[in-house]
Amino acid sequence: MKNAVKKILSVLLMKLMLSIVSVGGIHAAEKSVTFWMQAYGDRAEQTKAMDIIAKNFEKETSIVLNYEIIDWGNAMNKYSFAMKGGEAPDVAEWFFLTSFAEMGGDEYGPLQINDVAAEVGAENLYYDAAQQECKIGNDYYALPWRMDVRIMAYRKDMFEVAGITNIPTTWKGLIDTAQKLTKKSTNGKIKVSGAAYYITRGDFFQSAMATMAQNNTSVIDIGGTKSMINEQSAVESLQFMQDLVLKYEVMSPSHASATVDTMQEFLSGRIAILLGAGPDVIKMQQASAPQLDGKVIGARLPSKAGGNQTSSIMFAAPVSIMKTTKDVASAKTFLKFFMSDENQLLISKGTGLINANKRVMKDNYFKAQWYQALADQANFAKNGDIPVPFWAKISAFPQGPVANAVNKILAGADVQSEANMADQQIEQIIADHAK
Amino acid sequence: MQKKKLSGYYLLHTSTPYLMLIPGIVGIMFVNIIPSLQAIVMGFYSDSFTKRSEFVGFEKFERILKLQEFWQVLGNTFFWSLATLFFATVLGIFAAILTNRPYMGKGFFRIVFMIPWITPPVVASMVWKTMFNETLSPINDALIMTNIIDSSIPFLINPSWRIGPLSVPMFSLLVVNVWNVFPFMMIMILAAMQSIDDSYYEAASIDGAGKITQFFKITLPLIMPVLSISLLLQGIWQFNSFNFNYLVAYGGPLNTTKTMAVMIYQKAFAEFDYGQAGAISAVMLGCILIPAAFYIRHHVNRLETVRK
Repeated sequence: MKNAVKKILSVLLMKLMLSIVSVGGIHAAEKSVTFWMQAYGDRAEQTKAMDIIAKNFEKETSIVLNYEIIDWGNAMNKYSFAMKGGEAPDVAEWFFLTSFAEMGGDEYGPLQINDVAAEVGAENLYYDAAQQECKIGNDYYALPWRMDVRIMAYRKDMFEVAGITNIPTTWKGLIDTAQKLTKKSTNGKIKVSGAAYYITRGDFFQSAMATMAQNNTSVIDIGGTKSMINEQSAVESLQFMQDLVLKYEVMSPSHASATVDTMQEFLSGRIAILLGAGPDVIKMQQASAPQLDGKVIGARLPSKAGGNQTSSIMFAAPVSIMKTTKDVASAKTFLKFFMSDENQLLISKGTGLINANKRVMKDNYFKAQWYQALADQANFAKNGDIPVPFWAKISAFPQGPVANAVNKILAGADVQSEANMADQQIEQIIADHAK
Repeated sequence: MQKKKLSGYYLLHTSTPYLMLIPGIVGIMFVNIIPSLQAIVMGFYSDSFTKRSEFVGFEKFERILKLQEFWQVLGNTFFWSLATLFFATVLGIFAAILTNRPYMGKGFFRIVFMIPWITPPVVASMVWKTMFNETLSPINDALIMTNIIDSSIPFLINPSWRIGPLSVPMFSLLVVNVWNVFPFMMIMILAAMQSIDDSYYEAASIDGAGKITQFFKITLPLIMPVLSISLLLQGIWQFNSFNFNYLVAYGGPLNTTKTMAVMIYQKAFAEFDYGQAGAISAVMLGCILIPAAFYIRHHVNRLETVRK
């Protein structure tokens, strides 16, 4: 009896082991690619677009796409850990390519993909500024998909009520217009800001970069060898930001609070002009404030002198293959599939972003006023992320040198003193990296 | 043969409790002790996330001690812990007294008082962010509608008014934290109060002692063992406070609500300065460990004296 039970148990155990191995075998035979992507605009629309791409990719190639949409708040941590050997995708849509590449070293980080770039004709296909963010030296380590360029968004209905017909193109024009649009309560507190920066969490870093671009300067030089933040043009730009709050009183000081989302304030009618609006503003408006259709208008950001001067910053999102991928061929197949004109148009529509692909930008979809404004601004924008390895430290929030200085300046601190302190901190970062 | 069996059994019997402890100890070592020690050791190495670390001795410690931000944050952390402990304890005692009396619905109020403690910090933070938003705050709306104030209170905006670590943003977050912490104190004190024999109060009443005298002469001394342990635990937890300081205000505005835990997080994961983060962690450990060690030693000595 005992022997019979033992035999039955042995047979069952063997069957169980065989099943596990065969199931594992089936899964092992199934190819898959893991793709991480940042969250943009309306999450439901982005998910819908990615689901279509995943389904079509599997249909065409029999490779399963596992994608994950990452919140911007988590992205830095996730990619930092990936560069140090933590969990990493096969293909990543990310940022700070140069920083992460140096962080990842020889073992982790992005794979050089000159072959893929040549196959898609990257050199002639993508806008030059977008390509800069995908190269290290002369080699491609990514392909660019989206272009995130910051523009001025204004409320047409509020302009009409105030009787304003001209769009400001200079700093002086902006102040005059904003003063007409600003409304205050009886005790002098701003109820409606004539102009405000597009920020959340009280992070003014990108606003400061854009304002400096409007005065033809930046935080550091393009080679990353020296700080420029305490030079006259940069100090003027920071002074302009402070003046909007304290001198001209067209921007509420409450925007520096961690609880304020100025896009929501803009859609709620408490801000008339949003400076540095991201491309996703229109998608958010369509989803959460459809009553404002036709009333949110995009335009080129004003610069100090006006005319055809650079007045904004732009970012491209590099899409890279990670060195840690176990199936480079499948990863390359997905990259080419994702970067195809058809899929880039689909994902641009899903996220409300313009594309780095010149062919895609010719589609009728981008003929709408908002996208025309973005495309126009792209011609007068400089890189928002300077391709140096320590850029992540300079742009850190809230205690990075620039974010820290801007917050103190908007609270009333002396501009030159804060700029000098930020300059010392930036020079320290540059020196530390050079060691 | 029997002798051998007996000794084998005896060995197994006496060593089994220690063997049972091994998995737990190994788990604590790998999950808690080793990572903590590694974090402190990081403070002695250069941070560079892009390059291989090298030993720099006390350079990171020297740098943080020269940072004005560090001293501000250290002051914030001590103030935060002490203020939370004080107000949460007072409120906890008050709530425990209220819910210790016999009346209908007592259970309901005990549950209601527990809600702040069981609400996930992320959820609570999102709600309080709206409560503190200058334009969307229902608190401001209610106060303005009832003419108590004529303009919104800037709960989390750049502080023009500050006395040391106390500012409007710090006070706002303290309200949130005390709201979150007092249920724990209430439950601990309530449990301790329920173990006090009623005969003490009866005797005190007969002797003519009023309610306040009874509280200070009977209740407080008898709940002191539980209260002191609760204060120690909460003191450590509040010194390590991160949730509301980061989730509601990101340590701002202008570092007014930043605690050491938030500073460590931002140094490590926003500024990629792992060395400085490790150095600050070491300082933080020293700040908690020294008073905790003194307290535990004093407490153990007192227990041993009582036992003798």
